[in-house]
Amino acid sequence: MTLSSLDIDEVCRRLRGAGIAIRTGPFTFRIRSPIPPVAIGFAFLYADYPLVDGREFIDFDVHLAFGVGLRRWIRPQVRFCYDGMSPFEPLPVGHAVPLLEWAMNWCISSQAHQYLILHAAVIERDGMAAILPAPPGSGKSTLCAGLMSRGWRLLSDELTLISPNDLSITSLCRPVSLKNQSLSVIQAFEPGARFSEVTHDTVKGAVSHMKVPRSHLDRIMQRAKPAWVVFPKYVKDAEARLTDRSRASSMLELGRNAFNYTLLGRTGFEPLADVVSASDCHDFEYGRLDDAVAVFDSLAAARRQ
Amino acid sequence: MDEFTACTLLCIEDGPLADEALITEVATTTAVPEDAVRLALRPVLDRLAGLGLVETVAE
Repeated sequence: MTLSSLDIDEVCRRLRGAGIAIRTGPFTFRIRSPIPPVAIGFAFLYADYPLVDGREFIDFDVHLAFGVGLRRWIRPQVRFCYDGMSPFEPLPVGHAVPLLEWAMNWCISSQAHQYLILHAAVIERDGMAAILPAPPGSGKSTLCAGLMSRGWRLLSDELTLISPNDLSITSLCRPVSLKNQSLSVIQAFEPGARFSEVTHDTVKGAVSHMKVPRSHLDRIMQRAKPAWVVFPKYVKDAEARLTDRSRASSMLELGRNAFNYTLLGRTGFEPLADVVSASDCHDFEYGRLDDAVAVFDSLAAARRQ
Repeated sequence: MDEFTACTLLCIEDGPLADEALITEVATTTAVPEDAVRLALRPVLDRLAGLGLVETVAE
């Protein structure tokens, strides 16, 4: 049974009370919130995710609460609460939907240390994964959204989860975060894409989340093997240009982009070295998504031969 | 922190290093004589050199 089996009134009622538990990839989340837009955003973005019944272990209990004191009423705020902690500063209540996504990411990146976790998008074709590490604003999520609209499967637009023992990459398959101009770019590129309501004036600008197509969720349990590490950079109107990057430099950059490399120690070092050894490493500059898709398709075709 | 992580973090911070520079940095940071560090880090440095993260200078 998926979340879509509950009507919006029931979603609101349950979120106000004991919460709703869903599964996304290897993790279970229980979401609780009395804030109506959270219910609307959650019901829309996670409609096709399986509900988890009360007997299963819940990995992360995410509670988005109203601000305290006057902040309940005057310029109201939303607080993310987790195990009695509030790890983030409260935000304006209008930012509650993106906060839900950021909070879920935080839960995984700060605690799922059974994986080496990279701050990188990751997509799959023919069982082979392309890891796309890049700083915010480099076009990583836009590229990821574009590729997943053209035959590549989404594993994650934000967190690459690598199993240290076999290097397999686990799918999270959560909504894709798009910001500012990226929204109109993807709307034009994939008219069938569906988005949550845009939240304006966040720390990242205008933010919306792209819903993950059902066909990607149907394969959520299929892992992939690393085949490429590509450092993307969007440059307006630039021709697509793929250049080789040394494995050493790629490994250092991946280490810099890892959430838990220091924590894992040698358990992180070995898989990081193995991922880089098993992958073709590139820098990639692009200005148009059609060109980018063609380049990635040619990478996949070359591997198939 | 294990020696692999420590050495990689130094490379992440400073870029790929010569092994002697790395040995000096570790010796200075830990107040351990360079010869002892060189001996202790030899397997680590060989592995990192194989990955291209350090350049082998030390004999």
